[in-house]
Amino acid sequence: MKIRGTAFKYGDNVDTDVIIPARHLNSSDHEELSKHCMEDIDKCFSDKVKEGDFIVAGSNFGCGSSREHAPIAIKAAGISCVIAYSFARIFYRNAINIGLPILECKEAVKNIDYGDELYNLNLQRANYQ
Amino acid sequence: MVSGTCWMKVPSAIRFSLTGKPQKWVGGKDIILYIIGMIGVDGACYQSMELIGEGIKHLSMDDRFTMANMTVEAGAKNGIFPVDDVTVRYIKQRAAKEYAVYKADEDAEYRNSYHIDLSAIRPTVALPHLPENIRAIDEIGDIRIDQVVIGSCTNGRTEDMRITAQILKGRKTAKGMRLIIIPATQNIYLTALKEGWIETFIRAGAVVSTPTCGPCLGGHMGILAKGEKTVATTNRNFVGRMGHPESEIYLASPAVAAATAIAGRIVNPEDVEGGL
Repeated sequence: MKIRGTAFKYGDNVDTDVIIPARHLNSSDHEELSKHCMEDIDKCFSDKVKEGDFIVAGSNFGCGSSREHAPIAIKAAGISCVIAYSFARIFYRNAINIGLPILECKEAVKNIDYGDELYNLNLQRANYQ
Repeated sequence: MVSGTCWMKVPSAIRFSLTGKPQKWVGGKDIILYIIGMIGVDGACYQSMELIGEGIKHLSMDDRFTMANMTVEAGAKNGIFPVDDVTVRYIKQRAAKEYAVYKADEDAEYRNSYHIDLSAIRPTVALPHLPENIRAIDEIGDIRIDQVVIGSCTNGRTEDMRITAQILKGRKTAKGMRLIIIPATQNIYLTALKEGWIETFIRAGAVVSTPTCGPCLGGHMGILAKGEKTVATTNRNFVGRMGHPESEIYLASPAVAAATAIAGRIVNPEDVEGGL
């Protein structure tokens, strides 16, 4: 499976409260959750994101609550893969359990900027161009 | 869960050796905030934190629960204490079944070892917007507070209620202060009722709620408006967690939180005791 898309880049310690603020947790509708994904740190995210795009971030991505809504909101927004320095434990497990691809790759994080186009990401071989 | 199996990744371990006796008004919350400040919010990412040493004999079960609860805020999978007399006393009152005691192997390997002198830790507060962003109470400065929340899975236990009542007894909250107190369980609520603490809370000007996560995650009650500041005994102070993205959360112990509710700004419980 080769993927292409645009990178949305964030810093360290992106927590589950900004991935999907609790005020929206009264819905478990995936599409509704995706509309509010990242809204407290990136108001434009849900307007700009399209199928196949990436989130790229620093260390400890997904720290905080155990809410499964966080990886669900990201997946439902169309994000094909989250690439980070490292993932917080519960998010890491939730992402695998709900089927959101995640990748730890320091080199990629270092070299990718917000808005960069990524193509030919091959999750089976875990390489990218 | 569909398959009836669950995958497990075995964590490596980090050891924290605690010595000394905590100062007055320093409890589990201050110690764990201090540790998170020391190793950072990903300092124990997917690892097990073992808290050992002669210092733990000074820590009640409620202190230990608070600390174990918040090891997750350092990224840990879990936080564990060795079983001692304090644990056994607690278990004997509660265990409905036979129990077994497990302990770490003598030759267990640790990724890292730290030593912590409990007697050197001051009442500690985590400033917005990360639990690692800690300050000793003496370095806080003048921070005016709109709301205090005492409760949650982190600090809504019997001892937390007792300390809160001790500080609030015969005192009144500051003008304009919203003080919300939430016993963590119905049992704790009943104990607080029998001990007369609920009356103390209400007479001091608090609102007492049935057990709920409520304001901790901005669920309901005390949702913060733009620019508002809260001291909460909860576990996380991320952007927007308790309401508006431009509100601020300061994490502290029930003692610091109760003292703050009276003073209207973040203060050391000693200052309230001495008369403001």
